[in-house]
Amino acid sequence: MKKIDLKTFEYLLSVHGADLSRWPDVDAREVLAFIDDNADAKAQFAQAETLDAALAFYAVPEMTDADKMTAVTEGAIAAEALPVTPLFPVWMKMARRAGVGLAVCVALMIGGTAILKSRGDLNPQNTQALVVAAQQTATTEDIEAVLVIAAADIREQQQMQELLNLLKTNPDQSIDDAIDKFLIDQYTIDEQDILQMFSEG
Amino acid sequence: MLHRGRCRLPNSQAKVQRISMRDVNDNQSDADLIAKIVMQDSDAFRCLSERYMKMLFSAAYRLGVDRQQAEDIVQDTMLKVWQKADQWKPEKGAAVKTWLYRIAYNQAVDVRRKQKQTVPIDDMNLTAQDKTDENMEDQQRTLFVRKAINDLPERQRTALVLCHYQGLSNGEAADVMGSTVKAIEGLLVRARKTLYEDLKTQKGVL
Repeated sequence: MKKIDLKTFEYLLSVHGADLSRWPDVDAREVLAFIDDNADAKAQFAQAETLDAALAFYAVPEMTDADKMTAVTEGAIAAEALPVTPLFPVWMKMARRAGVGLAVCVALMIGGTAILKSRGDLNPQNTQALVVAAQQTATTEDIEAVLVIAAADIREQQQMQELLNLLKTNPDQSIDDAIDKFLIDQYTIDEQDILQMFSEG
Repeated sequence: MLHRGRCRLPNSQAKVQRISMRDVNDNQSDADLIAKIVMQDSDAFRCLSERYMKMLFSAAYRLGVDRQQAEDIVQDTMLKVWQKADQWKPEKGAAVKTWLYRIAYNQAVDVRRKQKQTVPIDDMNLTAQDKTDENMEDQQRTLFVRKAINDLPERQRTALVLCHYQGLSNGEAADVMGSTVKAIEGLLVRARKTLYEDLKTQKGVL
């Protein structure tokens, strides 16, 4: 038990207010006796009581029925745990796997192409090898997507060759127009690559 | 003690069994209920919700949000308990009660922060849904007190709400607020002093 003096009294009063049941480690009777004997303490205690009485006016409105609120929360939990319709998740899962696989394949092909290009070795055989490598890392769902890319890659080279031939036979045609026309049908080729190929050609 | 909601006895046997499950849970400690919630026991969750919803509601409301926001905070808090029950570790020393208060407190701080950007606290008033069954004079007092508390700095207000209104010990409040007992005492002293000075200027409050 704390021995009550004015300093301790003032501190506990300023922290806990006038409700002595909140005061830790003190004998309430001793505190009341101290207040009776001390005019300063009495005035301060009265002030704290006034503040506590005012604070008691801060009533809280009634909450919605607790059962209803629990039901709403449980509903939110149930909705979270609810399995999605079977078709949707399978489709989503496959799409996600295909998406990830596709991204890996594309990254592999772009990376590989860049390396081969930098070595000046880009040709249909290398591209095929790249496709096979990409296929080996792919899941079965991705094979088809990879083949589409492979086809695009080969087609791209064929079209590029056609474009070169076209330009050779029609030297008056603007290279920009030819590239624009070419890009309409292509989605993997970079304009810089074409220009580089022209400059090499 | 039987819960009010439980007096409405349902007819089906399944519901009767659920009620007896609740009675079993009623006697369990918070820690036991959390352990069951980790195992996705919805009866334990319901029991814990009933035990703490009102308490969290009044704390959230007094932290300076309106009634609807306070109810949202309570629901979000309980949802987090369901989702993250496994994150409560008794060996860390925090009681379930203070853990719940901490979640609710953090959410109330977020709500108030967003609210501050749209509604100045000075303009806060009692909305129709916030009104209690008091007469006009008492409602006016409530309004003054509420505004004075809302005007306190956030940590002073939180310390006051947790200790004065919610009856938490200074140590528990320190756990909720991630602070020390000494700091909480300092916050309470300053809060009470400011409130007294503020409310003294309001006619008929002090």
